[in-house]
Amino acid sequence: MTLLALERPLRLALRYLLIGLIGGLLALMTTQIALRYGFNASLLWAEEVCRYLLIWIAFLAVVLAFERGEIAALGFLGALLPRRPALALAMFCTLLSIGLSLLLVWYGWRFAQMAGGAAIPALGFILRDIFGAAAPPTPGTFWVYAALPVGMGLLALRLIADLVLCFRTIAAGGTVADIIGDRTGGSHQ
Amino acid sequence: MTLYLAIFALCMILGVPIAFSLGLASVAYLFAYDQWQLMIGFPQKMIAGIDNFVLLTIPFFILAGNLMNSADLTRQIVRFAQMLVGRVRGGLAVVNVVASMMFSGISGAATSEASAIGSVMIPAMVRDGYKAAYAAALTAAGSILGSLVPPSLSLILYGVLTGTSIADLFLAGILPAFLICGLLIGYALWRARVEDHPMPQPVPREERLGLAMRAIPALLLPVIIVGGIRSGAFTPTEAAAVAALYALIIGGLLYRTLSPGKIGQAFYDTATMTAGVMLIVAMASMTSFILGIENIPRSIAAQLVSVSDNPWVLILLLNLVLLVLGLFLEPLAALVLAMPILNEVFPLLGLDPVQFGVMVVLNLMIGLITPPVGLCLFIVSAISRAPLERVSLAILPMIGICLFVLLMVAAVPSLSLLLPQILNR
Amino acid sequence: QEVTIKMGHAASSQHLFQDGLEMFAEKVAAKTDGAIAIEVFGDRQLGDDKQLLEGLQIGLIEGALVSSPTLPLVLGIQAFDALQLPFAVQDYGQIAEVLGSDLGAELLATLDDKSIKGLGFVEAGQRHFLSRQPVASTADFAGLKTRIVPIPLHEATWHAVGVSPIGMAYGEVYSALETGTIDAVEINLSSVQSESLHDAAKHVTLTGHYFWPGIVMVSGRVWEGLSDEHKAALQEAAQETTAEAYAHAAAQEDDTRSYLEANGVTVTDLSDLDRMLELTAPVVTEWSDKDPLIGKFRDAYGAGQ
Ligand code: NA
Ligand code: NA
Repeated sequence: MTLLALERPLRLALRYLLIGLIGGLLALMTTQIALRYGFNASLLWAEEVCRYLLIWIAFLAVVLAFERGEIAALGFLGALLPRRPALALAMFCTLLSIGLSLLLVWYGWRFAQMAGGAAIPALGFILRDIFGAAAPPTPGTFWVYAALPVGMGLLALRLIADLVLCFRTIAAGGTVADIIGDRTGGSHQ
Repeated sequence: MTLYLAIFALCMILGVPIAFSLGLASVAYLFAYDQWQLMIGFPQKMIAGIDNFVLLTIPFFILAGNLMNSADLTRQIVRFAQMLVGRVRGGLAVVNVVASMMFSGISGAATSEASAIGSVMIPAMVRDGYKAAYAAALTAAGSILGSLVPPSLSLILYGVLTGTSIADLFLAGILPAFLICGLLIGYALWRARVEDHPMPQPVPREERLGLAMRAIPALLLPVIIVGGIRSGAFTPTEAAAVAALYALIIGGLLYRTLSPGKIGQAFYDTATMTAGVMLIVAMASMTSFILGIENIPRSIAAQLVSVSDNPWVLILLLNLVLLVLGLFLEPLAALVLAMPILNEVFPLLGLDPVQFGVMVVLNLMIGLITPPVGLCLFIVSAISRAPLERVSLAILPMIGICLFVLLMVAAVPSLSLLLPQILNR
Repeated sequence: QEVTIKMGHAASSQHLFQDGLEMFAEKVAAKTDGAIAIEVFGDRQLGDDKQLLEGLQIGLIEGALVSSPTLPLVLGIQAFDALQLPFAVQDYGQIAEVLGSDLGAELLATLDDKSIKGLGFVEAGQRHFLSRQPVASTADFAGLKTRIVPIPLHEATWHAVGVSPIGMAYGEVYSALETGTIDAVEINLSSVQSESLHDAAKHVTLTGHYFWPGIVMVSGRVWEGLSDEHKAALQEAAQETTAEAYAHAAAQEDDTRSYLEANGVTVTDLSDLDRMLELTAPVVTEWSDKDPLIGKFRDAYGAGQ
């Protein structure tokens, strides 16, 4: 129950975070053009920061893209099958996706720990610009690479919820279409 | 490799999302060939696949499209097209194609074009008595113009991956796009005669000036983009951000149809749509790593070359390989996967790199409208509620038209190179 | 054949890095009677410089040749900045000699902590200045929008020279030079040729501000798996490769220069190179204090003057 109570604020937070990230990306890129074209100057770190923003956007929004049906899949086999086998097939596919997501959470976390030790060069530039010689230690690329396990983790949670939904739907006599309807219905809150 | 393909196809047929099917096939491959220690490279390749400055064009072009849509611009463009070309039998079908051509100067990708034009044109055509499958197919075919006319995501990615001038690529795509547009109009007019399609309602005279005033600023976007790139104001990647900013400005200030709420929603939609594309690119990066260590691109290239060293045979074979890739993959992912093969074979073809780029991109775009995995087909079939099989059948003649233009691009250099040559003088 | 080592690099298969690794592969095969085969993967097939370095650390990549500026960034080993101090090195012969000495070995040994075994060096070519407008004297650098690699040492160097340093993805450089989004790029001649940058900008100023060494490495896991005899063979092969690769790069630079001149590029010297050297000297001093090994390299280069 507590999880469900948390879901709404989490969703809202994720929504505003993503809007902020896209807005930040647009602002940074246009600043860079204006600086170079108008003032013959450049933010040396802008290109790198833009790339890292894109990585976080891509992985954080995966779960929402999935809910909104924007992750392309072929549905014809499920459509050909009768109700129960179609649901079983959907559950099997969901299980496979959960497996892959969890695998990527595990290896993604390990990778972030193993390769995330180096300081983020762009942040180094920014911190030196602000603090000069007294700059605090620069955060590591761990904070970039963590996007993948975080994003795949959120997706895994959502897929597990889907699996539970499939079980309930079988019991309640519903069809795959009910779940997909639920899914898109969920995105418009 | 057979194992890889088998698992990929099986997962996809079962209904696992395409991106996950790629990933699961990679995992199965590493497991079966005792290469599990490479699993730690999977997240690295996924992140590295996205960690590419050029890919920033994806969110920005999507954002530009979303903002234009929220500003109700698509409807304006469609009405404007109707005002210009709608007074013939089957006029609405012609309007569909012309609106696609106009919209292609705004959208960076065929998929965003299919959903934007489709959401306005398909219901309108169905209301006028056209078959839903035909309306959907025509929209899908027209949508590939979105990737041939600047701005174009695929052309940018090709230019950066190969070091070809993107300004030239942008100009080179325009004539082939007009050729496709013209042939599609011809086809639509012929169908209209055979099937007795209706005459559309004229646009009232008093509406006309207002329509033109609103549509023309939007139609200037490609001029701004090509002009801005050629004058050195911004790079092709940055052009995408300029497009988004331009959409924000004309939607917010000129039309005053964009509210903060609508802008926020457009940003949010952009994030999720970006994630959908990026997930496939990320998974495809692992696939290309596995292909790379197995030396597959080199051996495919060697096999192509071993068949014949006649450039024409090679071009045909290469197009065949690309078409097959395009049957199953999203164009950006296909481009990433095909690039090593293209690099090996390209020097033997004796083609101009710009001409070759247009050919490759057009080829992959055709993949977007061919079954089984044609993202544009999925989109229009969802909008029209016509079954995928019907739309697939209806689009076959149009695929034929596109294939014909593809051959022309390969055979007639000036079709793509004329504009860059004129403007480089 | 007992062992195959797959080695990657991020340059094209026509690049000096490819030649260097192939050289290394031949020597290894000869010294081990074919027991160790080095397979070379160019064109970023195994990843770019950053991915290769990370890959070596996590055990994904068996071997690689990576440009030295990437090492301080990805591995945090500042000492590798020693290879790019502006105007510290006289010529190809001198840097080859220093890298072949114990000092070179000492620098490579800093990789041990990162579970990477550093073996030798391959040069990609001294860096010069390619611009849309001619640059005759140091004053002409002022305000030129110049694409540089965004790392602190290069930023400090080019800031001192007086250009407006621009950060930009490498893939966009050709188009940006062609259209005038940027005015110039600091680069080696062989890259100008291989990326056809001379179609976009026609003026090369031979500044030779620093060199561009790549480091030949294998992962710690691969290294531990080798017999002592094979380890010695690899090290010997890399040592010889370093010497030959520098001679090869020096020769190639002359060829490339002729090629560029034949293709309509004006190649000139800077009239007051001393002035440029003077401007960047404080950067060398500043950096020499950052790491003792950098100081040692500066002294070693200085001794050869
Ligand atoms: Na377009
Ligand atoms: Na397809």
